[in-house]
Amino acid sequence: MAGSLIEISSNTLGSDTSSVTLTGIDSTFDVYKFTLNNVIPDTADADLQFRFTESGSPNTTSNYDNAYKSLRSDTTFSNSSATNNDKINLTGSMENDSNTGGQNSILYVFNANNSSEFTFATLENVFLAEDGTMLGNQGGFVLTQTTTVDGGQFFFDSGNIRSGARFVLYGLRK
Amino acid sequence: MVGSLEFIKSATGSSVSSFSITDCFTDKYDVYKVVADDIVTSTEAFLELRFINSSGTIITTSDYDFADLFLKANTTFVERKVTNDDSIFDFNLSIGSVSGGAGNTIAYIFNPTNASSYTFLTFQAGSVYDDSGTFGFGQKGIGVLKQASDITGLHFLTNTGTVTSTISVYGVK
Repeated sequence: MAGSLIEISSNTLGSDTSSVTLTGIDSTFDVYKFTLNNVIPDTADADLQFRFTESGSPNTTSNYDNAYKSLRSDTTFSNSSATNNDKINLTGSMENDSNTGGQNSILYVFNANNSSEFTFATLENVFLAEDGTMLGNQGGFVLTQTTTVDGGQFFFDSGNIRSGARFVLYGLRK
Repeated sequence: MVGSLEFIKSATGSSVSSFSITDCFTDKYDVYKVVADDIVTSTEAFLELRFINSSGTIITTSDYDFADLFLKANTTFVERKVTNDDSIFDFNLSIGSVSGGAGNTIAYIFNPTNASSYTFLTFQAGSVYDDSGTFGFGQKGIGVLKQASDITGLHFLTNTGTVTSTISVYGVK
């Protein structure tokens, strides 16, 4: 029996890279999924960020809203939310130690290629802060524009993504 | 078209205090999905998770951190966070001894066989618990084993009583 989770595109970094763009979202599927693992910055305290792409180029308009519950192992959880940003913060400040595995995420993306609806996403991730504290976000975000999204771009707010990080885009068969 | 979610193996525990899924992680995948549905316990119990390394040893050292939010249907949500524990204690909580009672957890495991990386997980659950009555609740959680070890398996144990469940592992290619 054929499977229902179909790999669309992927990138396993062979060298430190400033950003990763995965495209291939189209009308074939309604729901897409990104997996990220071993994503580590080469600069201490960098935040992993994200934008949707249109025709392969990032949408930099101030139309991103997000809301997360930020879980952490050391103290009280917090709410993290923003409106009308020009990007999405997927994480807070991360450690840059290449021996601890950095950040790992699952994102589901909805209605991306439907030009009459906003593009929505859910996020769950886990990562380490510079002091070794474990943190993670559980929540969602939206691009409040009725545009045709074809992928996503991942980048840190400072420095590069270390070699070895893996990004995969899947489609969920209808 | 070949799919990218591949069933690897499952294991069943029947009225046991612990059971393992061995050799379910390999270098073929970086991300795994663990499906634990219909977790039926003999009394209200946590189902804890420990990892098994490539030597076949269940890791019981105090190198586990976890944090999760209990989204309770009947009362205030509860935050739980622990560092330096000897398991992911909160992998599931349920009171399976009541009629219809069961626990259900979906987890993603990241980088288990990468001996240069810690092993991370995210998890979420929908179960029932006892609070002077049986109520539904959800869990949203994260965890890490702070060891850069080659992890090849999973070990589940109850904090009290026994468990009956079949737990399956899938590779996300």
